[in-house]
Amino acid sequence: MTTADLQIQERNLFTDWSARATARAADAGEPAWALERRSAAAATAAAMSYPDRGDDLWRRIDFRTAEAGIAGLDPFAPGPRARGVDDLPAPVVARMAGEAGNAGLLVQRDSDVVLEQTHPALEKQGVVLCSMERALRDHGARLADTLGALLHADEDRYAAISETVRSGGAFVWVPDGVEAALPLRLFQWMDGPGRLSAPRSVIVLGRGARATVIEEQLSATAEGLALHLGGTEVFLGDDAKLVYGTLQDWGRNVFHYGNQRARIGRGAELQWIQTLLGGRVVKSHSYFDLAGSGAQAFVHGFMFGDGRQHFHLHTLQRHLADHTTSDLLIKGCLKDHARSVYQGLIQVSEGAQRTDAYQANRNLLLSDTARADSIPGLEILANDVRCTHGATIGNVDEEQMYYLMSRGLQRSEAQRLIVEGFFVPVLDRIPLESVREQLRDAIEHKIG
Amino acid sequence: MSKTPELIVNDLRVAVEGKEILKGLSLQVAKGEIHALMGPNGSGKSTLANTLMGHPRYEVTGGEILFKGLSILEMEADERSRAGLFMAFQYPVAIPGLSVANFLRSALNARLVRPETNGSGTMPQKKGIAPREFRALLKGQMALLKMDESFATRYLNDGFSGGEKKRAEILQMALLKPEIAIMDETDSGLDIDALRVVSDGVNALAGPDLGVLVITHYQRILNYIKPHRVHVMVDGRISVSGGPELALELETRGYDWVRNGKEVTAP
Repeated sequence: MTTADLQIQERNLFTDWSARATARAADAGEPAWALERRSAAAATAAAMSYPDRGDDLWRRIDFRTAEAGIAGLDPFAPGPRARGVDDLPAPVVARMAGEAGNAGLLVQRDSDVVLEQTHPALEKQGVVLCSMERALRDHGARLADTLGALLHADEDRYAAISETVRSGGAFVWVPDGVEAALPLRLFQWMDGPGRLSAPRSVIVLGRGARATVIEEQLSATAEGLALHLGGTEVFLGDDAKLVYGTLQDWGRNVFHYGNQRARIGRGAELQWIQTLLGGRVVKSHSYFDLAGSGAQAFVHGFMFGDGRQHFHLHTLQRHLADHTTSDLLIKGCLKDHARSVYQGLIQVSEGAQRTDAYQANRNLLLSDTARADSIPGLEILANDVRCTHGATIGNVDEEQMYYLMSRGLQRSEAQRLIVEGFFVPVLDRIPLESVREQLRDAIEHKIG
Repeated sequence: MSKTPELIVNDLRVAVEGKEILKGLSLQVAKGEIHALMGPNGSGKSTLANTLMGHPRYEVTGGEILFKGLSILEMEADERSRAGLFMAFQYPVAIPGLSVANFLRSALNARLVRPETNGSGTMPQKKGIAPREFRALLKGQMALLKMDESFATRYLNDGFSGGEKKRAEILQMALLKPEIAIMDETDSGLDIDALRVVSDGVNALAGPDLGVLVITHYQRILNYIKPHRVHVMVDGRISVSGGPELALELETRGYDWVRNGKEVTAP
């Protein structure tokens, strides 16, 4: 097939998807402005080409398998509606660890949100938790100036496709001055290969509001490609405080592409935890805008790869106002033939005096064939700032091993304790004990 | 003494990166005894300690180490530990993210649970000491060593002061109950209060079931721990051995006195 043929085929695919997505969305009551944005995104997708190695953000990752297989994927695979937690896939139920009643819950299965279970305590406070479809119907005005405000369809072709076939995702709204009484837990589940999931979520905390939101992405490993193209936008009003965890543990057949954006207002604080365990090839962009004076972002994350997993995490700490703080720690642990790339940039704009920015990337290699790359960067336009960054890549320390073994621990056990300890600074940030426990188990399982 | 000493070091030669450090060292320590090994910097004291414990960097080029009658030269550090050997480190290693309690429970379980597998792949059963029993045991030992309870939840040696590190070593020794313990310059870098706590700990554990080899540069710790025998090490071998009075003599006359060819007595 010639390049021209391929382009025609791709254009036809996006036209077809756009038509089907628009028809579904119109049925679901999506407002005109959102429908228009879909068609515009489809045109953008058709006009752009897939990002290639000429793009600095795509040079170190290989998404060609996803590119080649995308036409065979179904972005509209329906998920069976759940009447309660019991109707959900067992791995999702297991993650709730019996605490489903102590949280606001939203569960997406393939393309559909199948369970929205808020809680009387949250409802009384005016906290909103619902699917993006319901939010577009019932809270259109609140979404008009948030959905797409930080994340644009022309970011790259995947972002454009994601917006074209957008389906599912969560809307969270915490009113001014309200401290959400319970944590909000969001789940995304894919039932098998052949799926393209494209949820878009928006989380808004009003002035002085507080909340904890944990998002988990899960699927069983299966034969055949599945693709996740997700996007999340987070808005913190002045003096708000959000603890947000996004925990990815897809099956090993999933290609993952995620865009996360956060805008942090005056005096507000974001505690961000991001963990990447699953997937086959994983590309994640997390950008933090410290938009108001005194805004703070604390970012803790890890990637743990085995087999032939390949992770690429890109972070951006964007200091747009004075007296802002960002403190970032990303850890990478790689075994077998796994590979990780951490690419992090601190940007300080001209007016952002008295900025305090920190970025650390620590990598631990458990085999000779694993590889970690660390690419830090600084762009500073203000003159009265403190910005530091540092990166390390190394093997398990032999002196640590000797010390533990001198206490009777077998080599494998000593290594397990050291590797588990490596993840602890990130795990410690996870607010729910049961979630922390599950992650600890997943790590232990992965260490083998 | 009629019984065979638990630890017998015979004509031991050790090289590090091709350079010979121990040059035919012999020493015997039995349960119930406290030995002090003194020597100037560079005499090979820490090399001896780490060779006994099984540090992979130290290459034994000659001689033997017998523990309870068996050669341990082929054993890795973890096997030596489980056999009943212990070394308190001069510089304990920090393990960030691993709590003292988690570490100690794992170390105890390594002793309790594990039938030697010989690589046959049989998994040790995941049982070991019950959490409640462990907490009680740990609490008791920490109280004996005048350690704050919060110590258990801190990460092993991570951000510990010099005194805290040494106290943690003694705590490990107390829980692991070795038969022979080597204290590698445990007194270095300690103020007098910490030195007293550490010495009290060693004295509390010493007894008929424990043999101790105190390795030190200074006589100071021997004001608190009373050795039965004192050995002086110079240039990779024991140059002179004697009773407790030898330590005092060294203190007044310095190591040069031994270096300059004092007659060697049998250990």
